[in-house]
Amino acid sequence: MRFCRNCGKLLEDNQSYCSFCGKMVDTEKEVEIISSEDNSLTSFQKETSQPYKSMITHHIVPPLNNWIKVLLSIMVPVIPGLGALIGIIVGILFMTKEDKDRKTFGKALLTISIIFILLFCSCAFIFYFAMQEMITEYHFY
Amino acid sequence: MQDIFYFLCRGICHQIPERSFIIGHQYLPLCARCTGIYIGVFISFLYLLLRKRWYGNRPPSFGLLCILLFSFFPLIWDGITSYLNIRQTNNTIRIITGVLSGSTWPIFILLIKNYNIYTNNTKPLIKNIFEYIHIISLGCIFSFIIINGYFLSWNILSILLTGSIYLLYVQLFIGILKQIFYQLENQQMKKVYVLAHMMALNWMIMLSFVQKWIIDFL
Repeated sequence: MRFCRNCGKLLEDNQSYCSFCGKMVDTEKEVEIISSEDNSLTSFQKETSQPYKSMITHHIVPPLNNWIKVLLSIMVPVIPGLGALIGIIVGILFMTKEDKDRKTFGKALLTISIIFILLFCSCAFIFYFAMQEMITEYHFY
Repeated sequence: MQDIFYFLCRGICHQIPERSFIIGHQYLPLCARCTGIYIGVFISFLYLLLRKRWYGNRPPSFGLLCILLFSFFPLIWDGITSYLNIRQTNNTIRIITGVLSGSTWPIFILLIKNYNIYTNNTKPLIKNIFEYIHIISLGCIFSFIIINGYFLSWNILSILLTGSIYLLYVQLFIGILKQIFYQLENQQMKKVYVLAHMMALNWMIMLSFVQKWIIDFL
């Protein structure tokens, strides 16, 4: 079994171009998916010389709850600074998972939290100037 | 020539002369804290390039991630307590806390740029804490040179600082554009790189103008 390197869809054996995304498929390098159960082979499977590597086991992982996604992505812009730091941690933790849904969400969360922390840093000194101006004008202290 | 650096750095830093270093009878275009941050960024990019980690895409482990994020807190604590007049800081503390937090930025930005959803990400960006300690110690040596003003000219240092700001924004924009245009071929990706460079330059110029308008408005 082969998979397209670009889009990850299943290919037929003699296809040289992916029918979904149109990218050329390397015929020499086959993408082999090694399942995590490889280490726990039974003795029977070890004795038989059949290639076990090309077998695929689909782990059924439920996709991430939508409320968690909404809460995390609202938290990043609403809580200044700290929310973005939490977003970086959660984003990278999701990126280490094997689930595709979690991977995409983790990458998006990491991107927005880095953008917001850069904005936070560059806006902090504008706020500083504004506060200084207000203090000198209205004699708050 | 020197006005260009002051103009480009104005959007990112307040440039208060009391808080900047003097090199060659002239103030640097960035304050002490921002100098520390962008020196950390430069050293970290250089270290990752020389150790051939530029295309690394494996996220760091959870313990290392906590250490990387914990290095932000000295800068935040130093900034808040000195702003509220609880304690006094000086330029040495500012530059060293800046190096601590700035050296983590390239790791996250290169991770955004190189991470691929469809493959197993196996190339490490940063392996263990010792590599992070190397980056920090190199940054501290560099900041020690800046504090004392040894063998550095104003032009070289300001080119280095604005270059590292520019590099940071370019890598970030390439990472974002790669997520949007992930279907493109290698030939067309060159246009994306050109677009990212233009966006970064535009962003720096626009921030500088916005800062000037806000100060005039106040």
